[in-house]
Amino acid sequence: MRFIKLNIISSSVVSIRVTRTSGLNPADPDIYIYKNGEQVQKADNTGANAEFLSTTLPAGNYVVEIKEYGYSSSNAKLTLNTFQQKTSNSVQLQATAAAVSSCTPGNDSIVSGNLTFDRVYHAGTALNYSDIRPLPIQQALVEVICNSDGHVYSSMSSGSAGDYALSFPKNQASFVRVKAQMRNGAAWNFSVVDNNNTVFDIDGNPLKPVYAMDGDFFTVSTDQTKNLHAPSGWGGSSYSSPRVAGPFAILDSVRKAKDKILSVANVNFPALNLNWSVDNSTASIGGSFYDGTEIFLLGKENNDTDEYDEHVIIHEWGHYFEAKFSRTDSIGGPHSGGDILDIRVAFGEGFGNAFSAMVTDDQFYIDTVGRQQDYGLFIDMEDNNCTNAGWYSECSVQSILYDIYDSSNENLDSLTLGFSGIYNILVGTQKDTEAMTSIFSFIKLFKDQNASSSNAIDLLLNAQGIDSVSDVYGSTQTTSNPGATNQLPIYQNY
Amino acid sequence: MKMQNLFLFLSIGLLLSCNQQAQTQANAQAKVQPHNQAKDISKQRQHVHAVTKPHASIFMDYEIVNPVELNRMLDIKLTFMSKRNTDMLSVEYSLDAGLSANGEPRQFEFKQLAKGETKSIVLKVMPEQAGEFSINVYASIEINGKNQSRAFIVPISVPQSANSIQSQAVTEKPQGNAANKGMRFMPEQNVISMPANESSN
Repeated sequence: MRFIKLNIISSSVVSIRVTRTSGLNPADPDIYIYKNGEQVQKADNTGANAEFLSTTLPAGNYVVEIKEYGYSSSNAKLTLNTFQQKTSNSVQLQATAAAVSSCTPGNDSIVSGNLTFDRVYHAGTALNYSDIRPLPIQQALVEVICNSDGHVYSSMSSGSAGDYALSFPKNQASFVRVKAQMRNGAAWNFSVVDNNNTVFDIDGNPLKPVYAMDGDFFTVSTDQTKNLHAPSGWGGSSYSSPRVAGPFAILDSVRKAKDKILSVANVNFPALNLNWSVDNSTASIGGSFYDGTEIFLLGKENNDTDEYDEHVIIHEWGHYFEAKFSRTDSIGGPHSGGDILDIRVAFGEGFGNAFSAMVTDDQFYIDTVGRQQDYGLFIDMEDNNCTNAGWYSECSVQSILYDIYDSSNENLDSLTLGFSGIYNILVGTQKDTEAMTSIFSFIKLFKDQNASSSNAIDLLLNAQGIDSVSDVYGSTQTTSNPGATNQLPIYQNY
Repeated sequence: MKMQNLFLFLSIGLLLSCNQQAQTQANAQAKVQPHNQAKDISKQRQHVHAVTKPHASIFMDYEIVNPVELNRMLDIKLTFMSKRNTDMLSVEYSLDAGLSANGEPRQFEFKQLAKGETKSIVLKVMPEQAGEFSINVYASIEINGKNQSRAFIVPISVPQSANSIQSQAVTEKPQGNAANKGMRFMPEQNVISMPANESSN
């Protein structure tokens, strides 16, 4: 016997990993899945000593066969920890599988309700703990977990009102879990994870745990309502209980950024982890940042917390967007509003700031820090009076981009072009520009697509000390050297 | 092809250069350990090309002047610098339980700070327990009437004293943040489980 019987209650992702534990070395295990005797999936790669298969299976009964290549199944005796114990003279394999609940279905009840989290709002540049409001947890992964084995019995994404309704095994102890994870097939997969509690899979890949809000386990015989709320944990002068709302506040900001992109284009998003922890401090991770693969966010109380600073989260998500959908040549590093920056950094950071205001339709970027989160940093996208304005200023870049986007026109701003035009340049011609990515490349390419707005764009540029742009290299820039240095022309000809 | 070779050469050269610099810094730190540390941490922890959030234009270095010992006053020199002319610099700090300031001032204010100019203060802190602690420093600057703040941490590692080890009268390391309690790492399910407030209406 070397078969595993799988009973899939509802459509589930099933992951099976097989590894050699002893005997023949190297071994070459393979995995086959059958339904009614017909093979529906297989994994028969030639890698030594391990095999892995992950697939979505509709509800139904399946048979999994695990065998060692080169040996007939009847000789390949297996060690199947999860299901049954077997041994072999030739090789011993260990199989583990996930996502299959041992709670037995039949006459399920329906458990439904609403999911909410506390959002702490700002007062000036501080978090205002007198202004905490419950908001719906939208598009998060909700699961009914069979209490006896921890497996998922049923799952769905919460609705726009934070609503859910799931099958619940009748008279079998289970509970409702809400993950700080937004998943929709291949379209997106955003997870808020803890970077301070990492385990490693068999291949040495880090598995960072996802934050999850769990209800108490219970049994039902009839349909029931269960509302779950994620509290902030604020106790009056400090956080005195778990900060459950934090990961869901982060997820909510990510949802807004994702939806902004989806409002202008139907795209799939590469998976992204957002690493957050109450131990992430300016000493342990520096500042919140995107490293080209993942986002890291501060969470240390009395130092710097970013879970309620939407602009900070979306700023970093904007860097992810640039890297995955557009192109950024930024060399990164620390930066402030009045800094004279490398043109690549100035554009990337100015875009990040402006993007956060576009997504939220809130011109005020607020980043709270300090004791009881009572201090902060404040940037007004509509304050066009930038210190050290110019092509090397993130403030100038954010001012120009936001004025191109926004519907509020003031002084020299007569533009209300919205997001789609900006998006089209970023994911289009800006990706292939021969020059470095900068305000020059963006504006030249944007003008090419919006010729009727060219003069109005030049007014915005001139107000920031940037000469009218006619090519991606900024070759018409003859004024506005940064500080006392001579950096012109920006590109030398050879 | 030549450009590629040149780029490769430059890259290797840069890597070697960085490596040598890192070793030099590590050696320099080792020489002054355990009680001399001076660094802007925000520059060290992140990936080389990490793109970060903006911060207030204020920077801080710190130096732990004398050896860290239990129940012996510790001098910590904080040095601040801004890349911009500021109308005001104010500094405030708070201490983890286990450290005390013994009535020393908690707030400092400088009327003006010119671009590139440095201002230093010395904190006097008493380590009252062995363990790992933080001094949370908050620096605020005012530029053109706008206030911006940045937070820093000075980590303090207080060893147990020989006397306390002999007498077994070691004070316990403070327990973790109360807000952490109730968060359970469940590796078999790969989640951090947090308790919900539930209702049934």
